[in-house]
Amino acid sequence: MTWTALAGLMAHRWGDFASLLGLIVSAVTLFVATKAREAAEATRAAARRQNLMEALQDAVRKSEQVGIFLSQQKWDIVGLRAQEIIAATSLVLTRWSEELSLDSKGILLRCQGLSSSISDVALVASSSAPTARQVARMAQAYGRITQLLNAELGEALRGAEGSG
Amino acid sequence: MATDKHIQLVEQLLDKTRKRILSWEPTAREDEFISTLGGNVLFTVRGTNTGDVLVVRDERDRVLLSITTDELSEISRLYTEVRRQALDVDESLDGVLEQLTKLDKR
Repeated sequence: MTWTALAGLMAHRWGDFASLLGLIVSAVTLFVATKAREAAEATRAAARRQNLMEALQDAVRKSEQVGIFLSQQKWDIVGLRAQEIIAATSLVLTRWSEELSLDSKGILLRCQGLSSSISDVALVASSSAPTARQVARMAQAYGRITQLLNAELGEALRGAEGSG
Repeated sequence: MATDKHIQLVEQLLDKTRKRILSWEPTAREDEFISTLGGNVLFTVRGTNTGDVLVVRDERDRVLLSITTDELSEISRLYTEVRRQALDVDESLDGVLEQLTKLDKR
């Protein structure tokens, strides 16, 4: 086909070519928009995972502080830090409800229950000296919280690395 | 006053505890044990001088239910079973029995 013939064909069937071109442009636009939306969603999900890790790191830090103040026998601060762990885990449970597995939620709930028990015992201890058994039980519960929170943080880190 | 649902709940907890489907662990409070279910329910069983108590909380730490032995005598059985599992009482007793048996052989 010569250029002259092609030009003639174009002149006669201009509408068909314009429609085809329009269809191609629409398809490309849709493809680009879909990819952009997927990229935006992936970025949002990565940011949520990052925030989850930071929230868990915060909870781990607070649990470590419980251990430090337990060893210093500063019962009122132990009670306050334990309360902060309850608040931190509660936040994680509600804000990242969709990202967390049932096992993870169960672990965080256990941490809440254990922290609540430490808080109660520590607040009583701040007004009257605790017995050796009470201190031992607080230390045991603290150890368990640290273990559970660190395991949960490890899971979150693994998930972030796996998807990143 | 305990309802049929409360009785059912305690029976189910007893059954799942005996079968070790639910795992309990001690807390910092004396004679108190916790377990979770489905990631949104926290059970607390506590033994006191005046009677035992079961408390059910949700993930926002709200108390959904609290039943005492006065309301439902089965709570005492639940407490005994939970304590046995959480403190590995049977395993510890096995160890004691083994040591006592060894004393005879000396």
